Amino acid sequence: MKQMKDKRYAPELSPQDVQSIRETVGSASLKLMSESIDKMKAMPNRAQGMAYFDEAANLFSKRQDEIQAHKDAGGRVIGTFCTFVPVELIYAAGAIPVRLDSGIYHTVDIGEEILPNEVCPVVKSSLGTKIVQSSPYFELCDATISPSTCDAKTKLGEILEDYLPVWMIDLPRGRDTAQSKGFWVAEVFELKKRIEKFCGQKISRKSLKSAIELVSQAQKAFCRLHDARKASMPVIMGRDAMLAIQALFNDDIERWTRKTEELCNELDEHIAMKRKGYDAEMPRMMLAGSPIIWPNWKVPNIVEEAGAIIVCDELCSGVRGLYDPVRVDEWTMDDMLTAVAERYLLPSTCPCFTPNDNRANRLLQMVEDFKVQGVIYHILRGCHTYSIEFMRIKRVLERSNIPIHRIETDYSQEDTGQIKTRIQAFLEMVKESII
Amino acid sequence: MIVAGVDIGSLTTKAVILKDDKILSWHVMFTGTHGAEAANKTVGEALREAGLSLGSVDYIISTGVGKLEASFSNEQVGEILCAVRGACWLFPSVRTVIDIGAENCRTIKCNENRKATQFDLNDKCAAGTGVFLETMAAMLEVRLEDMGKLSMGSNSDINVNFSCAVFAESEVISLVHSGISKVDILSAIHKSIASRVYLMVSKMGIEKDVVVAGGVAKNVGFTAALSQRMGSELLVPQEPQIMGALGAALVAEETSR
Amino acid sequence: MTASQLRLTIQFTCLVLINAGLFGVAAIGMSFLPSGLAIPGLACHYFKHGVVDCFMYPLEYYLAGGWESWKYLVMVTVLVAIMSIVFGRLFCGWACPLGFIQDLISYARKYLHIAYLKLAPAINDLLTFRFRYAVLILLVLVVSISSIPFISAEWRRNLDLPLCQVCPGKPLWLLLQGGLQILPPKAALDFSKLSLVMLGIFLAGAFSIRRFWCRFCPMGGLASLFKGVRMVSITKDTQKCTKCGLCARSCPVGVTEVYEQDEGGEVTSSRCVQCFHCIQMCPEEGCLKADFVGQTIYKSRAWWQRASALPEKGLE
Repeated sequence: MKQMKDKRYAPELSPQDVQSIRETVGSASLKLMSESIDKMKAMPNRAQGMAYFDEAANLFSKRQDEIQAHKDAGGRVIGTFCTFVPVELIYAAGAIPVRLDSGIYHTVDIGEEILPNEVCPVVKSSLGTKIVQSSPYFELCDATISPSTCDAKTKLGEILEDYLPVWMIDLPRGRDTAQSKGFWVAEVFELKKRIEKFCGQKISRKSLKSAIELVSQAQKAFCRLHDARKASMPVIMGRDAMLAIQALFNDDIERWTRKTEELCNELDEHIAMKRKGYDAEMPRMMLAGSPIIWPNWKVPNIVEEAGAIIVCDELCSGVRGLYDPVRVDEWTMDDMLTAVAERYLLPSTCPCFTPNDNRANRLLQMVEDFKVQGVIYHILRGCHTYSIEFMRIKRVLERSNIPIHRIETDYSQEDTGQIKTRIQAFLEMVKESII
Repeated sequence: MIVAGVDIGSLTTKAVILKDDKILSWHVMFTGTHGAEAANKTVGEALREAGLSLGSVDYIISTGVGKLEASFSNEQVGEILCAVRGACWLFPSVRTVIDIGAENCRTIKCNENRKATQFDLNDKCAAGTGVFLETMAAMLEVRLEDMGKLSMGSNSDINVNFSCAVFAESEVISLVHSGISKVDILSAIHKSIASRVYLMVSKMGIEKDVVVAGGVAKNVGFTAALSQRMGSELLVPQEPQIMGALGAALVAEETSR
Repeated sequence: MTASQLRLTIQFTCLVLINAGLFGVAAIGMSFLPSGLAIPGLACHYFKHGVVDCFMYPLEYYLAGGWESWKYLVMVTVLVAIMSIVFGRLFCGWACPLGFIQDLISYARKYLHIAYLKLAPAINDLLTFRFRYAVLILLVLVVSISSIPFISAEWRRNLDLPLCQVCPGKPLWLLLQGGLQILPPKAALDFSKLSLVMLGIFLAGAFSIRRFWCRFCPMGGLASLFKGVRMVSITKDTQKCTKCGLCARSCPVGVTEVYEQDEGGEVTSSRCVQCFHCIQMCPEEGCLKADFVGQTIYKSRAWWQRASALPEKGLE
């Protein structure tokens, strides 16, 4: 038996304290979520297919019972952070992956008791969520996989070890070099063994192949949704699309795929019939920068309520997480694992990588494809890598005459008015430059 | 054609009456706690000076933080747009506009088509705006309008970085205690604001000509410090406070044309 | 039909049509084609009733022939140059029978789910950039020596057609024709022992490393000399590229330039056999393209718009 480890970071909290904080956080988050959902529902001509995602995005929905049933039947649940965990391996071992990045406002203060002030709210909130056990999905996790991306996320893995088994996967920050690639592929091969051992189930060639197919189908559905947002007469608001995408954080992947396909069928029909769309005059905005994780809908709400539409994003909580496919050349174990490993590392434009030249290209291409008229660069206070890359992205976009504006914020709601002023001024500028 | 622009700021409300692209009259007064009333009064005062009545004005545009309070205005327009229009009308060669009011500092870049291409606003902190200057003046027991002239007499090179308007007070007190003269402290305060503003502008890339407007631009000590920090000449309108209102009036002229 | 299926069909058709002798059908064109006409990488001289030669055979033959055969040598070289400029290395990827055999072996390996070996880039570079040109230079040297008059007749016979004596293609085709009873047993076994060893290396290599032979084939090396002026090229749109590395991973000859080159435009490498597998695998719409004199003949498609999300299945 392993010796009981001393808690290295975890605060001493009595179960009663945890219980009471959890209840306040829970009801506050529910209120926050329903407020945002109501705002989104208030938009006219909302696709009917969104109703499912309104439910699925509820962090306290019935989905937890399904996962509990899976656990009762002996299945495992594995938590993930960022967009670097190869979920195909988790599915192949018969386990369920759950993404744990948190957008809950009310647990930031709790995380702050351990973490320094300068750390970003995503990490603070994720940790706080675990401390007061306020996310049912986090509580269902048997283990979590934590990639060493930015500094805060890397250390988050260490802190979480006080609560549950954490497997660090070491991300090479060089990314493009042959050494980095080799290192990462080896890391993924190792992870496969770990998952197999933990789940007590071998990952066979067949099970991995069907897991790849399973995730591919979901990504294909996502790509259809992504594509529907290119329409010059918008048929789906950005917040709706973002919500649908993020529902996959903990939803059943097959059902999610089916529901997304249904939503896309509805949207495609609207595009083909040229009906039921939104005002084509709305400035087309792109969200870039730090992740915006449900229910942190502050910035998207402000942008779309100010009369703009978010047509695409490059956020790791959104498009980036699902865009790049696993493409297998030869269905051998070796090639499949390499394909899975490369898909998570090479095309990623996360600014924790240096050099990160392809991010600018990706943004320019999206600007072109989605006819983006302005970029809102969202920075969460403490998210240094995105903050640093702003200057570079700004230069590239300005060379193409695409206005860009930086919004720095956190999970507090006090700055809503100020952000509104900034965004309104930016939209006014964008509108003027369109004419 | 007669148009009016009214700029309801957090401290003062400004109104400008234009007739055929010429300024007929203007008026500035404190906003106080009631924005709507101030807007009414300011416009009324400006009209009185021009010998006109509200009925003879074809179009009124309001701007500024309280723009929605001017119930009589035909349209509300953002501050950025008004600042650019006003600056370009006064100085057609302008490419960078710095507008420092009581609580806001805006830096804007514009092109030859009088369109803003980039802008930035100060964050939550007030260090670097008019309110900060006012507090400092009160602390050092100097009249706000004398601050600039007084500081020009300093030839010290003390540099203080006031990163927070609240903490600045205690910092200034410690400067006073260490025997530094009022004049030198004033100069340091101006330099500090200038370098904050400089940082905002330099992130956008400084392009000439540069216009400084807003109430703070009336402070010659500050404009001199900023000019030195930026290493370039600055254009300051004769009446820097009314640039926003002027811009609003110009937009009104364009719209009603 | 996927590009790889189309390619297999064309490869098979080429094998039958151009090397028609394999099936004992006398080629119709034989009577009017000048003897010694060479099309690079298309046929082996030792095919019975073959229509055309591998270029290496006339090169060896005329080089050894001394001054009297120089004009044939020039004629053949010009023809090869023209072919290489017009078709690039499409021959290698889409028509060469040795390439076809290697692809078939790869398919067999894939069917057995056995992973291929990845050659270290350094070794791959050594083979493609040094080794294959060393072979070419050695060939010219050996042939020139054999044409020196005072060398003994036996030595001369031993040095005669040196490349054909080590080429794995010769025993491969001879044995194949022998097996099909196109050639009598005696003729079918008329190859050097060394070439039999080479055939062993060729087959084992093809099984474990994709397009093993193509990495240092001197014929391909010769065709690659015209890389800068050829009409077929692969181009890349850098802005569309997501740097996912699929082109590098899926390339059968280990070309990394398509992935690495960040300036865009022409990305063809001298080791590329122009099989266009990278274009087929590329997940981005229009990121990679095959151009013929500026005209796009094939381009990558958005992965999710294809009938099957999986590259090996269905129509593309």
